[in-house]
This record gives sequence, structure tokens and C-alpha cells, in this order.
Amino acid sequence: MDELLVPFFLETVRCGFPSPAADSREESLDFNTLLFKHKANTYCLRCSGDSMKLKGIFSGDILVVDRSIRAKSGDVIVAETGGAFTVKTLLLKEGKAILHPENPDFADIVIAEEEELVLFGVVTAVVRVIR
Amino acid sequence: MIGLCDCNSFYASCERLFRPDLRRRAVVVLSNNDGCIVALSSEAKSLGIRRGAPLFEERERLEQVGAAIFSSNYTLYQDLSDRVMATLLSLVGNREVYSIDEAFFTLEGPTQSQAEQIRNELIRMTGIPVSIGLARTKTLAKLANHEGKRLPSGVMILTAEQEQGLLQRTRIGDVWGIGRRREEMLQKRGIRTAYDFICKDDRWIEKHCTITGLQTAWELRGKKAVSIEVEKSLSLCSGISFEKPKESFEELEQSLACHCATLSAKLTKRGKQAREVTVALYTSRFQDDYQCPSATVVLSQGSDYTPTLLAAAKACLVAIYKKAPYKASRVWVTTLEQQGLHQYRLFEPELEQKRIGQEERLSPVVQEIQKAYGRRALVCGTAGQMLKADLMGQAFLSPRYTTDWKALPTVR
Repeated sequence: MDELLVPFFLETVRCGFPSPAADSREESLDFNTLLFKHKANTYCLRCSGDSMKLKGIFSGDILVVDRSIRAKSGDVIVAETGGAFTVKTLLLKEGKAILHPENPDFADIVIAEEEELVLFGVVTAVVRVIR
Repeated sequence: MIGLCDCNSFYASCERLFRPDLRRRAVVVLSNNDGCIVALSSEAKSLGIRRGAPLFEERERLEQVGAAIFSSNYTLYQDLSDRVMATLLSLVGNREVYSIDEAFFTLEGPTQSQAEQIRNELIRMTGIPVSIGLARTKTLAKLANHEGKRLPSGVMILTAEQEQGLLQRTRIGDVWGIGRRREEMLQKRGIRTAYDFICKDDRWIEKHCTITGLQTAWELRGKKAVSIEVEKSLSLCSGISFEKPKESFEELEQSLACHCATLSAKLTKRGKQAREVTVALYTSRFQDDYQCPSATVVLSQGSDYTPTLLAAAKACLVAIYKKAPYKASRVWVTTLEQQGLHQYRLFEPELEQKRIGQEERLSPVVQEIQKAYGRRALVCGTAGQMLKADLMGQAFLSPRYTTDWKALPTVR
């Protein structure tokens, strides 16, 4: 003989005054919506060194890097140079790409026209946890 | 048309993404316990190294050319796979994930430039190189993808007119769905290429290759027999090969606890509960008295709760345990049902009701804690401090770049 199966309700009925603000409730702030606009294409990298200090990017900061955005001149970007990642301001001038550090102690890296700039992504946010 | 998007040398490409210094170096990835080579970059392939080769045989050669050797970092691969699959969906609007590095999709009237654009955007947005093959059926899309991998564009659109030529050039063993045994059988009957195969009549094919072989033949002729459908997983498995054989009941129980924790997380993520738990133990296949005892326990209610799964797994272990040097253990959960749909029996024993109530209250709490503090924060007592990864030998493991704040890649 087949077993008889019936659903079992766990919800209880509550009594009392409903909150007058219940209809106005919204989700509380979620940093994911602010920092990860394109979640599948955003990677976090950690900054080391102070070549970008005048831009307010310091050693130990977490860089939020979006690969889906197309870089334009003036963007802070992460690129590959000499087998390592570097974070610099991208300047596009007369067909040349320049990786510009925001620190007078560092020199510009000029990408010659015949070289290919290997871009990792555009930095969209910097996260620093101070405590 | 049906497209297949396949990541090139996926595991090796993942290892490279955060290592610009490896851009042009040979990269190989090893199996669990670092035994065999399971993935190679094109540079490693061109050295003549084969997939499946034991590391010790190739190690000297790899070190000579300065190749980078990695243990499998499944956490990294799965995260990057999820990103590739999500990006493909955003670009194409549909997709069916077929494996960690492959997905099918449909695209109406694709042009070469449109397909190339999808591929290039996917690569730009994820950093993982892919190839795309498009054809009339899934089986043909597989072949087209294989061709596409060899083209500079990385894309091959196989038109109906081109099919015959491609099938004539394709060895029967390279067709999706034709395994090695079937290949041997067909070779013996004089069938060498995919084209030879589809020239046989349906009755012959069904007689020698069953209905699945016939479906493959239809697909090769351009008739859809394998439909694009949503992933339906009917069972989940967690298994491990031990670095050193394990004999004691306690050690085996510990490995089962790790499996159950893994499966519980997988079930919860999919919103599923399991009704059956199966345990199998394996001794070495290379010894004469190879044993693989197994047992199954049916649960009175579907569950995704580690202690419940573990209690069932332990009952299996008690039933099959005999002292022997086991090389591997595995746990399956089957008969998966949707979470929250469970049906209470009219006359549920009181004790059972109490247990289910407990589970329903505790399970979300456990999941919250694990979500907030990591899966190590709260584990079954039996598992001790171990997670599955700890049971594996992983001498060349790369950091979990995308899932661990302490392991982020560095940029100067």
C-alpha cells in the first residue's frame, strides 16, 4: 500500500500591531552593489609600493579591477610590464600609450607603437581597511 | 546554430591569469596528489608531453625548459569557470554549462565577425582564452570547436556544405560520444572516419552501437538528437585518493566526514536535498586482492545537513568496514529533491519529528556561520580540523587568488 503524504506547515500566525514602516522597508546598503558593478569580470589585487601615492593609492590597498570596462586616457589601470602587474595612470598621446606613475620619484613607462600594451583591467575603486 | 565555447588549456590558463611572468612559459597542472599531468599549456604540448603522463617521467624535461608545475587548485578553477560562464551568458543570452570549461549555446544566423566578437569580448572580460565552434548540432559543434582551436581567429562556423569534408578528415575516435571500446569495434569493421560511420544505415548502427550510437550518427548528419537543456544533476559525488593508504576505521570515517561536508555545501548551493547516501572504499587496483566494498543508506527524509549525511555514511562504513589498506574513499548522494518540498508522513515517529525540526533550525545557522567565517569555522567533530583539500598531497599549489583576501595577486 502507498504511504499517504501530507504537507506540514511550520509558519505560525502572529498577532499584534504591524509596523507602520514595514511597507517602506528597503534592503540595507550592500557594498557589493557599489564595488562590483560587473561581478563576473571584477578581480581584486593588492597594491605594493607607492608609485601612485599622489592619487591616494598606497601600499597594501586593495584595488578593485574591472576587465569589462574599456580603458580611456586618464583611467587608472593595471597592465603587464616585464612579467609583472603594474598600476599606473594610462595616458594616450599621439598614438602612444604612456603608463604614468602618480609619484615624481618614478619615471613614465612609454609603450612604443610596435609594442602591445597588455591591459589587465581598469581600477574602479580602492579599498583600505584601517582597523 | 548551436555553439560550443571551450576554454583553451583551462587549468593552465587559470594558473597563468595572475602570473604575467608565465605568459610564454610552459605550464602544467597535476592531478590530485600530484600524480599525473592533467592539463598542459600549448608550450608544454609542443614539447611532446602528453596528458595523463606521470610527473616523475616528465619532471626532468619540464625543469630543463623552466616549465611551471602546479597542483590542482580547484577553488581557483571553479571561480574562474563561474566567471566565464556568467560572461558568456551576458554576451549570448543563453548557455548550457557542460563541464568546468565548456558550455553550449544557441545563436541565430551567426556571422564570422559576430562569433569572433563574442570570443574576443569573452577573452577580454575574463582573461581566459576560449575557442568557439558553431554548427547544426552539438556533436558537430564539438568538431567545429576542435577545428576552431587551430585557427588564428579561434572560431569555426561549420556550414552544412563543409560538414562532409570535415567528417572525412575526422577519426571516428575523435567524435564526441564514441568511446575507446566502441572505436576499436568500429575500426575492426572498417570504419575509420566519422564519414564512414554516417554512411552506415540506421539499423546497422543501432545494432552495433545501441541507440546512443544512433543518436551520435543523427547528430553528425545534422539532425539534432541531443537537445540543449538545463543541467539536471541526479547525483553528486565527493571522492579522494589518499596519499598513503588508510586502514583504521577512524581515519576512513574522517575522510567520509570531509566528503559529507563537501556534499552538504554542494546540495545547499543547488537548493537540493538527498534521499540516499552511498559509500565506497577502494584498495589499490594494482594489487591482486583489489576490493571495492560499498553500501547505501536510504534516509527517511531528504537532507543537506552534514551530521545527517555523515550519520548515514557512517552506517555504511560500519556495514562494509574490514581492515585493509584503502587507497580511496568516495561518497555519493542520490535521489535529489528540491529543498523545502519535503513531505511529512502522517504518523511520523515523534523522535524523528524532533530530529527534523532540529535540523531545520540548525542547518541555516551552520550555513550562515560557514559563509561568514569560512568552511573551517564550524565542522563536524569527526572531521577534526580537516577539509578535503587537507587530505590531498599538493606540493605545488598556487594561491586561491580570487576567493581569499590573504591571497590577492600583487600589483606594483
